[in-house]
Amino acid sequence: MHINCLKEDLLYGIQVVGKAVSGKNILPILGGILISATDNKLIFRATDLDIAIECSIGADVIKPGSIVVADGRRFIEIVRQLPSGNINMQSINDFDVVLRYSKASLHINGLDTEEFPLLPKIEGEVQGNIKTEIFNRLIRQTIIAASTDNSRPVFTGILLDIKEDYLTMVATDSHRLTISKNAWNGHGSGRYIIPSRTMGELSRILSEESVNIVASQNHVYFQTEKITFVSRVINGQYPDYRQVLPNKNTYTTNVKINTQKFLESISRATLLARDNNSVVKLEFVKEDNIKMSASSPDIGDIKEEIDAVIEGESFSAAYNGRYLLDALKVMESENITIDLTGPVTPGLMRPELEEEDQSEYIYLILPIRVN
Amino acid sequence: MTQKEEQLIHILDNFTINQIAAGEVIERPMSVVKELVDNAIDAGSSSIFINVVDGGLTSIQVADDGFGMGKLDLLAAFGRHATSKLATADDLPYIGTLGFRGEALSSIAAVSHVTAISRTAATDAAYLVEVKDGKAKLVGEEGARVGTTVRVDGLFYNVPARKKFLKKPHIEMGYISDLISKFVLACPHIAFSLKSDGRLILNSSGNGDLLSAALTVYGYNIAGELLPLKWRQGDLVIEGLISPISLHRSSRNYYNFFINERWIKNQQLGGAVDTAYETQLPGRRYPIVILKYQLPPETIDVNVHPAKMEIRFKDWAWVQENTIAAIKQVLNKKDGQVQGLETKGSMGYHLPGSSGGGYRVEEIRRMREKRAGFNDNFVAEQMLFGQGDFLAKNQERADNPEQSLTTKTVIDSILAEAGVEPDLQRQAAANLPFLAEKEGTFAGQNLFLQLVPLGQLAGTYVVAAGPDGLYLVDQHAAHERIYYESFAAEYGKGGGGSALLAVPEKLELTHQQAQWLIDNILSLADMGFVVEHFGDNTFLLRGVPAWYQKGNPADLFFGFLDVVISEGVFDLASWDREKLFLQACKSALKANSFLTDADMTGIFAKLAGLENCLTCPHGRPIIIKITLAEISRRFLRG
Repeated sequence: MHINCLKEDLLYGIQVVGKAVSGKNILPILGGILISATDNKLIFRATDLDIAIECSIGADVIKPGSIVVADGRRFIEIVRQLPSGNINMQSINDFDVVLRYSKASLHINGLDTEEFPLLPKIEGEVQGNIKTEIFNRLIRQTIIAASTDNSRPVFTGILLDIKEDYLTMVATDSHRLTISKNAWNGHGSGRYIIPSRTMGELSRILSEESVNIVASQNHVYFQTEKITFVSRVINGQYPDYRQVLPNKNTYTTNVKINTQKFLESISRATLLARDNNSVVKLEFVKEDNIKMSASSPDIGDIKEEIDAVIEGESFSAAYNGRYLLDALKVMESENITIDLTGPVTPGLMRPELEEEDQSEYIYLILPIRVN
Repeated sequence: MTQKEEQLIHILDNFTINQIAAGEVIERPMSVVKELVDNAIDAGSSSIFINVVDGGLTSIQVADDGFGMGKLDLLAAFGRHATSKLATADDLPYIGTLGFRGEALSSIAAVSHVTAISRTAATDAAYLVEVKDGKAKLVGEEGARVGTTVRVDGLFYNVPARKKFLKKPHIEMGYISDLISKFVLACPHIAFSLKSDGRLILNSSGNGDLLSAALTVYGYNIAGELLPLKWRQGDLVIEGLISPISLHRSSRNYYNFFINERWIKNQQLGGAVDTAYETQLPGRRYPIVILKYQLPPETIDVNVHPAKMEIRFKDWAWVQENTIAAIKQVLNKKDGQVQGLETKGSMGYHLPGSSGGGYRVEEIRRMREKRAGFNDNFVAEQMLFGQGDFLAKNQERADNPEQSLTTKTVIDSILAEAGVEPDLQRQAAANLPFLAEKEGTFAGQNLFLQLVPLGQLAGTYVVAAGPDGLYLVDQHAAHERIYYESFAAEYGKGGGGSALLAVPEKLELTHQQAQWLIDNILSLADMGFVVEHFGDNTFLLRGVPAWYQKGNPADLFFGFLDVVISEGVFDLASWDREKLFLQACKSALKANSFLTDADMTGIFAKLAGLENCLTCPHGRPIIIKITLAEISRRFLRG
């Protein structure tokens, strides 16, 4: 292998796949990055067997070939420190490679490319295409409710529920549940649970216009022009989330409120209620406003009235302020609506959307029953 | 002065002897059931029906399809020390049957009204015998199938003192169902059916498979994860099911030991299990084990106590060694849990050894389908929840033991590093001889209130003058204890309300747990658990205490249930100790921080208000003392 490329391109490529470099040190090959040169392209690949990432950059390929740099993480650090400009990379035997820049050269040890895991084969009938911007919003809006407790792996994931023209993401930690849905250009139907951590990484990496998704029983591929991101699927049955949503005719109270103002009030209250399980009390007074209160035995208490349009029955309930904040931060609309069913039953928070919007976002929150 | 000598000592009549003996053997309705079922098993039955009314206080009926008794045997059976299982004392070392002392029936008959019907294959008619006040009388002949049915009415009718000590019927019933579940595990080849007040409580298939027996007793969630164990060493055979290290409970209630199909209680075996799992489970967590030992009868002594639930091993070291080895062999096996750690759920790359496990789930599915025919509840449940719900749950957990482990192991290792051992605290306390003085010399006045801070040493220790010497206080340890106690007090209040769950958790309980739960559902609500009855022994967990915001609600609930049922009380603060430790540790003053005099006095004042103020929550001492005598000696003033 012999190539010329720009330091910036090289760094971009290895940083993208760097997310998949294993830090566990159990199988040395998984700590490496595979670099292959073909057709004026450099392709990088790394995997920790949970996820695999491939990324390609443009390069001047003098002689095609491939190598595996032994310590992927260290390699990224080293490349970051190189001066900008052209880098010449040439393999000197079956494994090792020399990087030449300005008047210097750097010798990097390699591993056997034959040992490097291949990408899993995928035969997926379920696939489609969605704008990266929308895809990232779906992740942002759902990931907040994914559980971090590993005793129930299914809940640590985000469910991708694909039904022909719609892509829906769902997450829950059993205290709250998020559903974000958008139209997409796809076909086939299926349900796939992807680790939420992986989805988070993915949304940070993706930058191009749109992303292709191909899903199979065990793996889901996310592809852009330059990047292929493969994640394993968490095995297990996701709860039937539609069943958790309360029926429309059980709504007792409907609230319309300015997102930013509500967010600010809840922030103050939550700060105060931190030592009190973040309990924030909300009293919805019909045709009036929301009376919010929170207290901390050692610090003090707070009372605020928040302007809102409230229809239906008046009642009061207590909520975990942190959960409210999580939701308000990702609503991404000027106003939100809240449909409530009572003081000990679920409430649904939704952004106020335009008629023609092909998206839907629901944040289901359960009250805290105060003795 | 000639007075007729009054004879004080006389020989008790048989009936009285039996009543006294009954006190040892028949403690409560459960003991009656145990003796009768023991007999039924010894009679070679393949199915045994137990029908209990009013927790056994009104009546207990045990019907078997064993080989039955002839007329003469039936009449003789109720005499004291009447047994068919033993002829001479020389046979004692070779007891292979469950019963042998010949006390059971006579003891039962001494404290209740007993009716028995029995027929052997040799006769066409069954004989009906009634026993009243210890005397058996043939009442008649009847048509019946081969086997024996014994019915016990009005238990303890003549021993009011005993009756007074019995608990409420449903609690007695809990003991009985617990007992029958032990029998189900002990004899998977026998079909047991237990009814209470006409309601079917337990029904085992008797297909000879231990896993299916475990399924009957513990439900799918647990049984689906148990690992099979097989071990043979000379005459000793151990078979059973044990939990993987990812599945544990907060009490030893789930330890089941059987020696030659006899359920026994044995602390030594419990200790061996603890040792085998040592360091693999988080602190104060215990595995679920069902271990069945086959041993030559002469190597054990079952004749220890009339209830026959205790046992002595002639060569304990040998049994212990094998028990530990057998468990370790399963736990260390590549294709159990450990494989899951490395490759299960990983991607299909071209790496060796990526075949997944999970065969047990299939097995359970088959059993479930088979059972569905037996029990309508299961069918209904299946329809409600959609098939595979529980399977999925099992699969999930089986697929990912690693992660569930790591969080706990991480906390554990942190604690271990910090030297947390429940015993350590006590130990540390024992090493502080002046502790005893607290009540003596300093009686009436708290030690900490008498300390006068002199300054700080190395930014870490507070140096103080106090009664009879110089005191050094570890400021971090002290502050940690103060925080710990205040957090614990907050926890204990439990008044934080209940965080309701968006996705309720389905709980499958044992009968005993379910009974307890039904009785305590309201006080549970006070603590923040919102539980709803879902039919039979299944419940829905709809809310958990509001402070519990991360983690698995079902884990919290089961941990709570285990502790509360075995210990009778539940101390939230001690249950979630790890979290408190971390919280306390994080918030506390670090070493190398400068303290003013006021700070030091403040710490002392706070410590003075605590009950437990001599060690930090990790068990290290907070305060050490250098006596004046010691100082004088050093200065050679002695």
